[in-house]
Amino acid sequence: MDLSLSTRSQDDFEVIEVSGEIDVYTAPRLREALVELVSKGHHNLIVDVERVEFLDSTGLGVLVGGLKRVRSHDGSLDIVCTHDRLLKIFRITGLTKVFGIFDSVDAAVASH
Amino acid sequence: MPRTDAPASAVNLCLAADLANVRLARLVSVAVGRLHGIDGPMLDDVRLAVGEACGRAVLIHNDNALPAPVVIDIDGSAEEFSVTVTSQEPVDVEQRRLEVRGSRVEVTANGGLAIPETFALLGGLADEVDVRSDASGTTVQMRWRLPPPAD
Repeated sequence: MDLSLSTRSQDDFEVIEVSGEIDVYTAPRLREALVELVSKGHHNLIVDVERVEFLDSTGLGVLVGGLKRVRSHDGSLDIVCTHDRLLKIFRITGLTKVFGIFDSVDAAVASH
Repeated sequence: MPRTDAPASAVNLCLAADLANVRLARLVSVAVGRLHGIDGPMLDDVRLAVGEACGRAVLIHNDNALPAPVVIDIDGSAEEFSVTVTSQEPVDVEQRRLEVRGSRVEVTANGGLAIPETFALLGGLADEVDVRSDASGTTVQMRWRLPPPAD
């Protein structure tokens, strides 16, 4: 399964909806999308991984890289995820303390 | 639930060091895992751990322009399931250090590697992770203990 990305705006946030597999092969495409958004001045991002089937450490690295970029502009990068198989990876790596992880895009927006 | 008639099978994959092949290694490992009755969260762990280990091996082969394939051995019995990923990067054992994409890995006296952050995720996914290195490369073996079959 390939990686699909789509972007939309909600309130003051750019929501990146990701589906498919984020791995060592596909993660560069997500990185490019995040870099492009930040370069266009979008510094409050929400990455929705509800339709992601697989996420590895390369994907996590891309998300952390995105977080660093937006924070350098006083922005934010939140994650929307409810799947245990993905949340486990965030827990193992300690990234649950780094990202805001929410059940829905609305909840992520409301947290700000 | 583990199958009592699970085959004492061994599958050997020799994959070109192409990042696209990491997914193939994941798919085959999951398929063989299912033959051994693995499902649910443990199967997710196998999928992710194999992806991590193979991805690391492929990246190292690419970085070193190694033409040799990355080798994945998948094996199992009624009690245990294991996946071993072997990369063939040059390791200067005399220096007792190995640089893996910026992460320093300590080579221990017996040829094993101390678990660095690179392998921290693997340690959380498999029941046992054994990383060994010698002059011919590095072997990452991941093992999962299978629960006894139900009566």
